[in-house]
Amino acid sequence: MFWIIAFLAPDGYSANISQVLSDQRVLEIYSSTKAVYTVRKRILIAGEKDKSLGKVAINENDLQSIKSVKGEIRDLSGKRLKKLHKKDLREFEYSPGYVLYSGNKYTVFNLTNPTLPYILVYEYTIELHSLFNWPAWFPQEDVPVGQASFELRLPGQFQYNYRTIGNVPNADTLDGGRTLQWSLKDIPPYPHEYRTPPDEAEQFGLIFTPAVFKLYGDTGSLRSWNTFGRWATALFNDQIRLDPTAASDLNVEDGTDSYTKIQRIYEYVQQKTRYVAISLGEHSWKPHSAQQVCDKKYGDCKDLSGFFIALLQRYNIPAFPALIRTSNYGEIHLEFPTNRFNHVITFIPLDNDTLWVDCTSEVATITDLPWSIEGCYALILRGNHSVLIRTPISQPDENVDRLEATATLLPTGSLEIEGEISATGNEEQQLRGILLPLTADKRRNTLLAWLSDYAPDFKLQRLQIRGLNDLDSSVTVSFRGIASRYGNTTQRRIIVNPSFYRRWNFKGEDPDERVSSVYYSSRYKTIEQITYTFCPNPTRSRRCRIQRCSYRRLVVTHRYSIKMETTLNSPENFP
Amino acid sequence: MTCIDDYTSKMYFQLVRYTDPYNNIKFIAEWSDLLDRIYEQYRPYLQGDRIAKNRAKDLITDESDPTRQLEVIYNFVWDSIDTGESKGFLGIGLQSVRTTLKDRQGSRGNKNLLLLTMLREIGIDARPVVISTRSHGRIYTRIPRLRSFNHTIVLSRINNKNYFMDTADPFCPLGMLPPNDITDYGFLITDDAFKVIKLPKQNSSSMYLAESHSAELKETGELTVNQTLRFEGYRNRNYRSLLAHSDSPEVFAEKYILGDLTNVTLDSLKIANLEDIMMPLTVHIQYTIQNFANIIGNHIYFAPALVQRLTENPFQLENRTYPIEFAYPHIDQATVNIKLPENCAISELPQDRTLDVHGLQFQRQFSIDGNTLQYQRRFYVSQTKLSERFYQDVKDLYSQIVQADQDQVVGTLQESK
Repeated sequence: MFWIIAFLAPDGYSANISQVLSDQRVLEIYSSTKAVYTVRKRILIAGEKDKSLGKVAINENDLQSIKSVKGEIRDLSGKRLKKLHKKDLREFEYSPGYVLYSGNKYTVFNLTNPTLPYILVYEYTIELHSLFNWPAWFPQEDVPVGQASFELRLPGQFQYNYRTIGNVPNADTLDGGRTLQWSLKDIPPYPHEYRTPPDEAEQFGLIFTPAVFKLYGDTGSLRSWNTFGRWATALFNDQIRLDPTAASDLNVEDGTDSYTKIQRIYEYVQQKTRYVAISLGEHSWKPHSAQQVCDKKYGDCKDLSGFFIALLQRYNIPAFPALIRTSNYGEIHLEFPTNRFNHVITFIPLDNDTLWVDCTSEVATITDLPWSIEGCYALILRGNHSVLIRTPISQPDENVDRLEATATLLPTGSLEIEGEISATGNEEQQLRGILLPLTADKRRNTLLAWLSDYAPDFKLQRLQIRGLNDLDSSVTVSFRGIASRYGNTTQRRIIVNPSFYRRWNFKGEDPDERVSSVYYSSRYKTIEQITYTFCPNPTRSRRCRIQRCSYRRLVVTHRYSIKMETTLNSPENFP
Repeated sequence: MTCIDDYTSKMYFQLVRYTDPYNNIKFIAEWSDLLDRIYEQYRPYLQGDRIAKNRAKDLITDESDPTRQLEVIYNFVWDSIDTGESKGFLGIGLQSVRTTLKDRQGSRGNKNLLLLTMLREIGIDARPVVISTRSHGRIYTRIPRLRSFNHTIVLSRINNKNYFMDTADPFCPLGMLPPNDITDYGFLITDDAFKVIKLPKQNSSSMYLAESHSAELKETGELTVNQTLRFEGYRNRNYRSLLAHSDSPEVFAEKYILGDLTNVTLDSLKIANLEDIMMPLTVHIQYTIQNFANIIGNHIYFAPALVQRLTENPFQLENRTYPIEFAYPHIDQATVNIKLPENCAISELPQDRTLDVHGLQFQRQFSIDGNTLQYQRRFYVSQTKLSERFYQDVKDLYSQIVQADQDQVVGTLQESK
């Protein structure tokens, strides 16, 4: 049986390992508002888990529509086992978790066969009504790819730009320069490594941008950051408008300095609005009007930023929307003007400083920059003066997560501990962000779960959270509790790990095999300081719940500190 | 736990009758109405199909024993028809047996209805049983609700023996229901009745046995282990599923067997009985743990629990208002023989432990024979449903097990001559 399969299998691959035999993509451009994109794939399915490669979802929205879908399954001799029928196609609408409704529709099929191995073949064609969302080419998969190509057919003189990712050879030019073809062979599967940086998640690929694009009737240009900024500024300009009577309950006293005014307005926006994203049609890029946000009291990042700017303008404070790609999605490259932004913040130039404000955050103050927009290039939308500027980066000492405690260890291995958890900067935003939306019971359970990570029977006797609702105060969590089996006892010894709250575990792969850099989302510092009193002969005080030692105390202070000074470590530093 | 929905307050509404001057439509008011609804949709499968009949007859040409015939038909549907997505157990979720046979693909319910039709066509008594799977929640018998159910399995009776069958899970052969099907009750559908039946209780054959043929601790703190692991019952099913969905056997071993160990290197791996699903999956594994033991001065410290050890308590809530449920009884059992360095003498051992709480039993024992330390661990869950009243006891038991699994042995190293 195996001999027959080996004989019938096409040359150059093993029938025992699933792989994409060929992945061909063709983008034929007719004009800036019409292009046809075709995807053809032949996949050898050799394992049960790889049957999931037969599940394909094709996106459809205002800017692209599906023209055709075909698929079939063949055995290794080429005999057709199954054909994809219309009834096998299912349609559903989908919006990512942070968007309430986006109008995106997906056509999905799942083509599998019970008997392995088999070859899955499918092809679909999409008509693009704008090149604004020019399909990128990322041919890497979870299985090896034997051969992949991207063919670009152009209508004569057509200006565009592209950027290669990884080692992609130059394109072959055909048809007198009107057709370009990039090809790759023997692409390894995704490495799926621990803490892979977003920019290294794709090892091979091409990203394109048109020099000129049309979107919902507007014409824009990606020839430079400035031209793109001009187009995006126009989307905002009409929308940053408020009736003079709107937001009449906003009280900002005359005579206060600009900084205080901004702070007051920011708090007003935080209190009066909620983040709700409904990005239908042109509103995937164009904000809803500030007046509408004021009336409805919700909006997405660009809506809230527009509303904030409109309120600032009322007090003659100049402010501008800034397009940004959050750091968890990867970098924007200076030399490659692109529309690959996923967020809008507000840029406020002041005499002595610049404020970068994220209106979607419910846990940040005016000076807090969320970790996800630190050190990212932001395109400041100032019409003809639009420019790309990098946001500031906080240092580890500004983002400290700290536990300080005193503890008494008894001969039974029981630990009585009393301490405080506190945090600053990004760490505080994260702590507040987790605890603030929870009910009191859930907060207690969450903190109990954190504190009992290494003390499985930890019982809380007292818990107090301070400063959670006051963004100007720091959050502190005071606790007292007992872990009755913290120490492991042998006949004469108690063996304890002094790190009660934080322990550093190595979760990565073999250092010799590491390919990508190691990524941390933010620079931070973790400190744990616990003063242990070992109590060989305890007595219980009537007044105090913590055990007292009658004699011979041994006091040891354990201090544990980790400082993450960079967010990106090269693979050479991984070991 | 099985289904959180069973323990949250809610109200269900069901339209019983709609009346206006021109209409008088009765929906589901009584259990008999519900039976009619389901029976009406299952009638074609109970009446039979010529193509399914021919296919079934082809398959059993060489078999005369009904039990063997049932096995052949089950294996055909189980193995040769792909389990596709479910669109519901009635209505648009149903497809004809011919479509299932032709496409060689059907939802779990449609595969079972094909099994039902094929068995009936060869004269084997087979009936559909509608159930509510564990994740779907329990059935409220006071109100007949169509939405109480979400799946159909098949019951056959041969020589006074019942066979409950579900062909959905590629790792559950005949005789084993998928874990999500393990519920208390099902509703048997016959031509004229709708009978509540008890689903079979699962026995305690779900085992994870770990035996160490030779583990050797070196003076440097390094441990080399040669171990055989055997998975039976539902553990056999679960670990086969994990293995099938892993990129390679090595990834499976590193992730699901050695996952909790640090500084570990997999030296060799051999998996036996992989092709025969009826046999226990058996894994022969050799691995090395660097820095397994801590050496401080002339003392050596190590925790002998290797695989199966519990590193955190799964019960973290302070209080619980719903019961604790396990799908089936199970046993984890490990024996580790560790040969100590020549110049090492055990100076302190943790105490042996025996814990028994409401049908959950944990035992941990040490013994020394020459310079070999034997560690034995057994955890047996015999009670599958425990009231929330016992939550604190169970939580405490688990925290004691976590502690026991971290317990350290202390040895004294003498200077080598």
